[in-house]
Amino acid sequence: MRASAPFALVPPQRLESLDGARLGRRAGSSLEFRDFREYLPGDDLRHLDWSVYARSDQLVVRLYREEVYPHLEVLIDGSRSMAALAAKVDATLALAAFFATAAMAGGFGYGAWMAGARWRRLASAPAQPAAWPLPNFGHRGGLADALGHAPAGWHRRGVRLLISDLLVSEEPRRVLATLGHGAAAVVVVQVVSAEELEPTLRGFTRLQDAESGERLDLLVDGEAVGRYREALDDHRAAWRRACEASGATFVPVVAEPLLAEWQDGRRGPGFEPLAQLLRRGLLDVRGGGR
Amino acid sequence: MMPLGLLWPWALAGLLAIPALVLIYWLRQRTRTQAVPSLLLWRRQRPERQEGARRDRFHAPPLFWLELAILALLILAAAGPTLWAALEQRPLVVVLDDSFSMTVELSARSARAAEGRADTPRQRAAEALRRELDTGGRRHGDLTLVLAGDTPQVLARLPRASTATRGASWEGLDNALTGWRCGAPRANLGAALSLASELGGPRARILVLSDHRPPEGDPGPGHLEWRAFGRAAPNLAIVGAVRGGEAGGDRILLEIANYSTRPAETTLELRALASLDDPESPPESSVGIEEVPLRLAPGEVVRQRLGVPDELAIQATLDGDRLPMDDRVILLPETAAPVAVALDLAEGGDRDLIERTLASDGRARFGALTPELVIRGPEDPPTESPGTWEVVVVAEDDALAYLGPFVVDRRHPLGEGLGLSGVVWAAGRSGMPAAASTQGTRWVVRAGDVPLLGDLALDGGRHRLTLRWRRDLSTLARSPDWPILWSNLLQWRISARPGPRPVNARLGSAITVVRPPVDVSNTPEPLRLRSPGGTEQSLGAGQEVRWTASTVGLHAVVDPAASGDASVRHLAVNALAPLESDLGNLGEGVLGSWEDPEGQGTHRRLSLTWLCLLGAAGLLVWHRLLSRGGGR
Repeated sequence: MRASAPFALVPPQRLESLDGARLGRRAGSSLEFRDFREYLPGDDLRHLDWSVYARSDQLVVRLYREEVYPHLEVLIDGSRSMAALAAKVDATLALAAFFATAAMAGGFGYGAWMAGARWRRLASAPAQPAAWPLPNFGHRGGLADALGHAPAGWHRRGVRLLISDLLVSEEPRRVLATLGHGAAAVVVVQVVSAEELEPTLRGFTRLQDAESGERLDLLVDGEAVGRYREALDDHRAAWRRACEASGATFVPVVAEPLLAEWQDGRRGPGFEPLAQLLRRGLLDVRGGGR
Repeated sequence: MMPLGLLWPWALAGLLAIPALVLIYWLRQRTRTQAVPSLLLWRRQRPERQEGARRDRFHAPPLFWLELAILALLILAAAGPTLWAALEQRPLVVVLDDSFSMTVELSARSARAAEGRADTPRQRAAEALRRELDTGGRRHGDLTLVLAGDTPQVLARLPRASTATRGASWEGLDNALTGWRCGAPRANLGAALSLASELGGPRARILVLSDHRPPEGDPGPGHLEWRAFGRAAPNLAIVGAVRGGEAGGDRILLEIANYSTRPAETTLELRALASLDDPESPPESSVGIEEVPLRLAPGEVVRQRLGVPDELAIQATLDGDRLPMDDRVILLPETAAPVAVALDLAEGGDRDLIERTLASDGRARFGALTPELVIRGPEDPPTESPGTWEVVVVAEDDALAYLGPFVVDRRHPLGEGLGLSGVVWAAGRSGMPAAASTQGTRWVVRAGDVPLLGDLALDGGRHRLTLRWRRDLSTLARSPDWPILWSNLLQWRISARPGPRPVNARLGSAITVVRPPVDVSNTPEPLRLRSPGGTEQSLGAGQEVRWTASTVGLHAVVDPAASGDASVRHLAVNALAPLESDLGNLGEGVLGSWEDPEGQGTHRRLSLTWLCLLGAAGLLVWHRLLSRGGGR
């Protein structure tokens, strides 16, 4: 969690709230004056600056900074595949804690949810991640099914951040459509372990699916690993394209290097996928340094 | 075609490592269960099997094949692979030692002997020849087999035949080798080599298979290989056997030699053969005559003179040893009845002199009703009786005394031993008298161009001799040549009798069979020779047939044209070859090589060892790259 300390979540530009505790970047209806601009038909006449009109005979409206109440929903994939490798569990929980901490640092509220047969709230602001209960990764269903019965507790116009290995067969657009319904921004963080990225298996192996228990006998050789990586790349590309199409942000993360860097308190290649959140303005560094 | 050869084929035993490699991979291929987060990304793979199905074959990954190839290349490199580049097949001439010493049993305790197979130099040489043709057959062209006996002869000329499945082969080889019987009294290897060189030409390879050690010296590369399979061994042998008739019975002379560096003891056993049809019959059918114990010093030759019954074939044997061929001789009775002579000359004068001369020889008898030899004057009518020869004595009135030089045809039986030195021979001045036919006459003795003694061959094997001689003007009758001349005549007439000559022959000697006079209008059936093994061969249908004795033992000459006892006549062939029975000079060894020096031969041997090692190194690099890339 030390790595998340200097970061703060930034409200997305689509986020609109009239009475928030946080000033948005867009013009809004808060009391804090921001700028003038020429009147355009349709503008609220209440914002006309009549004194300016008296002095210059120009219709000018006063712009006020938008005031929002931003919220982050941290949605953790609770399927069994997430727990198949210890590094994935650690990285998933660490990422959830990272974003929850960043949310609180950015003045966000947050809610941490575990996907399963039904969504279970793990924690919400202002609870610190260290106080979260231990999650149970035992879900056997797909993501879309879980998102189909989203709980009423999710904030509209909030930021929804999904942490999953995305090892599901559902169409990414369908999952993202469900996930983005009513959200101001969607971030999809794919967590895979190094073993998933570059399998070290060799020889005749009986592969057993951690979720379904299904078995597959394979001769795992260089050619087979090549085909696996090809499938992984295609799978990621499909999710990336779907995210781009729906305005979501896709962040692929490898568990082991990220955990190692966070343990050492440094930022290196393992953190690099998260850096795109900085570039896209969804994440900020306290003190202005990026 | 560039065939592959191996310098050290035993290195191929390293191929046993391949099963070990397969075992390693097989053990590694045993399936282990591995939990994965999801099978989603693995479904693009080709399933090895459905769950629950049995694996029934060995699945080899690429690295296995690479390692297998590396292993095979290393083993091949260790075996010394060679390539016969620019190979050109050259004729192969094999000189086969045909002497009977090739049949000596080398070791009674050898593995072959234990298996009941003969272990002789001949067997070993034959196996060496087959190995050469099997393993090195690619480099050989047509095959010629030369028998090195007393006189070298071509046994077979076999063209090379190549088939895709069996490689090189020489049709009829097995059949030809059955003619290699090793029965000659000596091996004239020098003459055989000359014949082989002549037959094969300058490009031929010559292989000598013998029991004689190779000669000293270097035969030069790529031409001659001499492989000797003999072994020096002691041997007791009968090296001389003669039978002669004397008053009161026949006597035989036997020479027994001990070719050894140690004293030897043996027993000489004489038996009379009861049946000539089957000399190999059990001893009960023969009659024991005498047993003579002998003790011989190293290298000693002892002579035994023994009396034997007339009219019976005698077999003399020594105790058996490793070379049985020279441990036995058979001696048949030498039947040489006197020549029946009729003197139709006028009483007194020449007749008395000729009669006394013939009588003194002992091989003539007078007064027979059917004479074999008639001596008459030119005015007497010629004799047409079959089997009767004539001597026409012509004493011409106009004779001159010739002092010589005399021209004698020494190839004629009458000319043997005639010197005529200092002899005065009186005869007609020139030509032949009108009474004597000169057509077809062969002149045995002439004085310049004046014929003195002529021979005219008549039908039925008869001869008419013409002797031009004036006793009163000549000194011939007082010279040693006179009895020699008549003795030659009697010997010639005896040898021209029907039957084989000699009846007791040495191995390798010439044998002549004269047939009885036959009707010239009918073509006679050929004579047949029945050898000791029971095999028969045709000898030809001529009046006189000659062949060389090549098999030891009792032979029978069958004349289908004769009747009665004359239809089958026997003769015995005995080894009696001292040089061949002496096994002390035999030995093993190899001389020469067919390996051509670099650049001189018609083929070169290219070593592929480095190529194999280079290939193995390249595959090893590939293996490393694949290993890093997870090829396994």
